[in-house]
Amino acid sequence: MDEAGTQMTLLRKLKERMSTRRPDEILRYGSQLLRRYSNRLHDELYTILEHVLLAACDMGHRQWIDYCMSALRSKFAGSIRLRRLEGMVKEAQGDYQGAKQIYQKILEEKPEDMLTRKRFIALYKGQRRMAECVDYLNKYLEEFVTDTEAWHELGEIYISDNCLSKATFCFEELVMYDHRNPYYVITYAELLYATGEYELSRKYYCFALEMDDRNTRALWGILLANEQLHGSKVFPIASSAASPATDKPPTSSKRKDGHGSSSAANSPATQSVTPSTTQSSSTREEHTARVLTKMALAKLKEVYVRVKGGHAQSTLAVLQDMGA
Amino acid sequence: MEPITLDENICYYVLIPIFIVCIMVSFLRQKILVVLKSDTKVDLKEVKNSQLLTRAKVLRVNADFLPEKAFRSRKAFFNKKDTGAFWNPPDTPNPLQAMATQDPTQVMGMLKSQMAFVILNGGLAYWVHFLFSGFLVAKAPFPLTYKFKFMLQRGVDLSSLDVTYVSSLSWYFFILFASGGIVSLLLNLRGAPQHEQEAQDIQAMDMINPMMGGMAGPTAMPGMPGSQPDLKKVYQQERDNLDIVSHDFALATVEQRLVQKWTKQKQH
Repeated sequence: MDEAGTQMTLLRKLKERMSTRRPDEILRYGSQLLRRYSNRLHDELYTILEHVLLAACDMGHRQWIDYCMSALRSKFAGSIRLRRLEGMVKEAQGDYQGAKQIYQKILEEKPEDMLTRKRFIALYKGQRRMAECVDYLNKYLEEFVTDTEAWHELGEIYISDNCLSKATFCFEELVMYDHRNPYYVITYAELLYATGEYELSRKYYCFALEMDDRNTRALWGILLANEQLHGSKVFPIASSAASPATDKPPTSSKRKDGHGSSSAANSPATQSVTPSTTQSSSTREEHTARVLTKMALAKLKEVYVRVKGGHAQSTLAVLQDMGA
Repeated sequence: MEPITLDENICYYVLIPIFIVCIMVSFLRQKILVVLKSDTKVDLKEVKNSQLLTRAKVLRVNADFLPEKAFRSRKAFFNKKDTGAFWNPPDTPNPLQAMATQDPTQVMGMLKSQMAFVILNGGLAYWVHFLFSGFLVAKAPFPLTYKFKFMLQRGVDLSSLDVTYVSSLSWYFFILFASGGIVSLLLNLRGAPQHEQEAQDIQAMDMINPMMGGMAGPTAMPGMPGSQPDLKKVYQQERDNLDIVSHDFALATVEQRLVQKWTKQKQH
């Protein structure tokens, strides 16, 4: 029973890690499995072999690469998937030319093979030949325009190349395909911010916060966008100091820390939800910005109060300065 | 009417053997199909077209989540007069010409899988008919209407017989259509998880294809050139669909919504 039990736990642990990219752990569990139970894994054996092979490539573990390759070769000689793996092994060993030849051959036989095309992209990226990589990605996307992975990759490359408006287009595409993905939405918001579309940027930050209201990236984003839109007067301290006679009670700056205060921070917000119609649109906008800033600050404080460590403490101090 | 009692031996020598043989043959057919399956060639142009159409559809559905500018630029990509993607459909070869130039291996592949089906199932039906014709093998435990007679008592022409009795040939057909689930269950028990999808595909395919027979082929099979609808019309329609979409930005009041939501949270 124990034998079967350990086999099962190993298998489970391995499977949990297959989707994460932790080659060291995959190699650890996978190699144990292969060493001890390789004759009892049935059809699962080949999936494990493939994963261990890729992990070994990442870790540069020669012996496992050779073992897995020979095991897979004996079963699937000549299959396209195996040839692609061969190419990947070559890539891992730095033989880019050889890998390229393998991939080209596959594509000659099967031009619609998306995975092999993506290997080309990885190949260029591995060699830091970014211009070619971008070219190839663009060509690829012309054919497979719905491939979000490729759009994402292209967007990231554009970001690292500082082509922000092009990156914005890529992330627009991603938001279009999946607007329930907070990561896409936030990155898009950040790109909008970076290209000067502060109002839109704030909208998308808010949209991300509707899905997950503890997202610090989006909370800080709102603060930044508001500052760009209205200057520092949206921050509670500044606003109360600059115009103590406006609709805001000046208590906000005197507030002390603790949870009681964060609920008190809310009372002006409740009024502001239904701004009176006599206000002109610009002041109403400003009002919303103020309320949002205040609430975002409160949320940020809530988040950081729970985090331990000096880093969080100093962040809290900064927040305090801003009026949380 | 006096109920007919079926001999116990019928169960052992007819009912169960037919069942087992049918399941075994299903297994066999699956293995044969895996061997015979030839790679279908995918036309890159077709892929590109379908991806374009998908993108247009996604744009149509999720337009509200994009800023107006982004939506307009994407719409222009598809719809801009003369230069938009939907104004220039690639020329589709006329069906006859396409027939002539089409890859013969594709037809061969279909022919092979159909042959396997016809030979195996036809042979099996013949075998059942030859050995067990005229047997009543089972009785349904619930009453049925007269219409079921043709379905349940094939091969036994007795107008006065109660409808709930099942003839051997009908039993065979019954297993043939119902065995898919059992076969895939058995395959999974033997531990072939990564082939699961493939097996199901094959099963779904061989269940449907032969039913259609050769005649329904062109419309049913995506690989056939006849199935390709006129791209000009499809594009035209998609263009109209896109034109109808009115962009109503979903995030126009998102700030207010968020403030409201947070306020409510605080109150609780």
